[in-house]
Amino acid sequence: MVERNNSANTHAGVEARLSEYLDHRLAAHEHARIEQHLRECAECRASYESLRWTIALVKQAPAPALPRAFTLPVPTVAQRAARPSLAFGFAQFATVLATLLLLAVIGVDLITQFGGGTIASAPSVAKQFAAPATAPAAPTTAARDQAAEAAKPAQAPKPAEPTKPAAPTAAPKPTMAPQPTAVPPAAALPAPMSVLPTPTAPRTVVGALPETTETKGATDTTTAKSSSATPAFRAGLAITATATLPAPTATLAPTSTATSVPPTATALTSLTIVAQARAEATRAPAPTQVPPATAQPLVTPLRVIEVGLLILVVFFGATVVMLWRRK
Amino acid sequence: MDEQTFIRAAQKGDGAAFNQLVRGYQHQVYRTAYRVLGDAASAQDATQDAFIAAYKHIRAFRGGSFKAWLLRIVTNACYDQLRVKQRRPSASLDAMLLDPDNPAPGLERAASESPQDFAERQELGATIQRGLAILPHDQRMTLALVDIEGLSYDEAADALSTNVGTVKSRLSRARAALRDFLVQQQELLPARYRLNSEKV
Repeated sequence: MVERNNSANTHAGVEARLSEYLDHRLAAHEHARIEQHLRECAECRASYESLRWTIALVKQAPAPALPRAFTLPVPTVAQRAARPSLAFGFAQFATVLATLLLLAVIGVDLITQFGGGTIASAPSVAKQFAAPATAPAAPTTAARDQAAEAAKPAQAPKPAEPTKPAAPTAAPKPTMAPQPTAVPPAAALPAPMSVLPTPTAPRTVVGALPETTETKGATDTTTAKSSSATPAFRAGLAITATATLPAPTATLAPTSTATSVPPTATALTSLTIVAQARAEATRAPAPTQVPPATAQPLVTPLRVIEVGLLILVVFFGATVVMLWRRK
Repeated sequence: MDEQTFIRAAQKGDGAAFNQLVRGYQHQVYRTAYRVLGDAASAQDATQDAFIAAYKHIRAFRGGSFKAWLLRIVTNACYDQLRVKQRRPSASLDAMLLDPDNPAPGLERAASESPQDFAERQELGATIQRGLAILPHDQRMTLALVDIEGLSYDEAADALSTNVGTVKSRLSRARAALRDFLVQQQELLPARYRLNSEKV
C-alpha cells in the first residue's frame, strides 16, 4: 500500500516535471532522477513520449500566411522635423513680427494725428478741400499786427507777436515760416517796404483789394463774396479766408480779431493792411512754396502699411492655426 | 543597420525605422495572434493594434528583449480581442477552424513541399488549432509563445507580465491538455503525424 502510494506520488511528480525535463530546465540532480525513473517506468516513459510528440507536432504546424503588411503610414524623421515644425515656427514668428509692426505703425499713426496736431478732425480736412489755404496764416497774423499798428500810429512797429497765442494750437511751422518776409519791420527791412504799398496810401490799397481777390481766383470765394459786405465784415472774412485752415483754432482767432475792429476808419485801415499782406503773399514766393501742413490726404502711406500688415497678420495667423490643427 | 539602431531611430520619431522593425516582426506577431485568437480577422486587428500601440509607446522601451516587449503588447491586444469576442459572440472563423472539412485558410507553404505534404500539414495545423481552442487563454498564450514562437521561459514571463514559475506551470498544464486532445484526435491526423509514426 505504501509502495503503491509512493509509486503514484513518483508518477505524479515525474508527470508534473516532464515539461521542464523536456526543456532541460531542471537542476542536474533532478534531471538525473527523472531520467532514471523513465528508464524504469514504462507508464511514465509513454507519457514522456506522447508529450514530446505533442511538442513536435505543435512546432511542425504550418504558420498562417501574412495577409498583408502591417507597416504604419507614419512620417519619417525628416518629414516630422523639417516640414511641419519649420513651417509652423516660421508662421508663428511671422505672425508675431507682423503683429508688432502693425501695433507700432498704428501707434505712430495715432501719435502723428493727435500728438502732432497736424490733423485735428475730419471737418478741418473738409474745410481744407473747400478752401485750400494757399496763403498761410503768417500774413494774416501779420496783417492783424499791422492793423493794430495802424490803429496806434504813434507806436513803433514791432515784430509779429500775435502769432504766439495761435502758435500752440495752430500748425506752428508753416505759420511761422513766412513771418520774416511777410511781417517786415519798417526799420529793419526797408526793401520790402519799398516794394509793398505803404499803409499811408489807403486808397490805392483799397483799390488793390479786388486785385488780390482776383489773383486768388476761384479758390478764395469767401473773399470775393465779401466785397459787398461791410468793411469790418469784409476784413474779418478776408482774415478768415486767408487764415483758415492750419487748425480749427486758427479760424477762431481772426474772427475774434475782426469783431474787435470797429467799423470805422481803422477797419478800413486794417483792410488795407490785409490787402497788403495778401499782395505780399501773392508776390513772395516762399509762402506759396511751403506746402500746407494740414493738407494731409486721407490715404496716407501709414494707412497703406497698416492695411498691408493687417493682411499679413491674418494670413500668418490662419497658417499657424491650420498647421496647429494638422499637428 | 541593426535592431538597436532602428529602435533608437524610432524612439526619435523616425517612422521609416519603426516600419523596418515592423517588417522584421510582423510575421511573428501575426502568427502569435492567430494561434491565440484562432481566426485571421481578429488576428489582423490585434496585430495592427499592437503595432500602433508599439509606435505610440516606443519611447517607453528601456532596453532588453524588443521581441518580448513587442509580444507583450500583442498578448494584451489579443486579450482585448478575446474580450470583444466574449461580449459579442458571432459565427467567427473559430467555427470554421473546428470544422474538419474546412481547414485553416492562408497557411504558408514551404517551397520544397509537395501539394500532398502541404495538404497534410494543413490538416495538422487545423487539428492543433482546434486543440489550442480548448485551452484557457493564459495557457494558450504561454504555449504559443514558448512552443510555437520559441521564447525562453524568461522571455515568455516578460511577455506575459508574470514570473517564470507561472510560465512553467501554465506550460506544463497546456502541453498535457493538448497532448490528451491530440491523442484522442490522432486518428484524424495524417498517418505520418500519428504518435507511433517514426516521422514525428
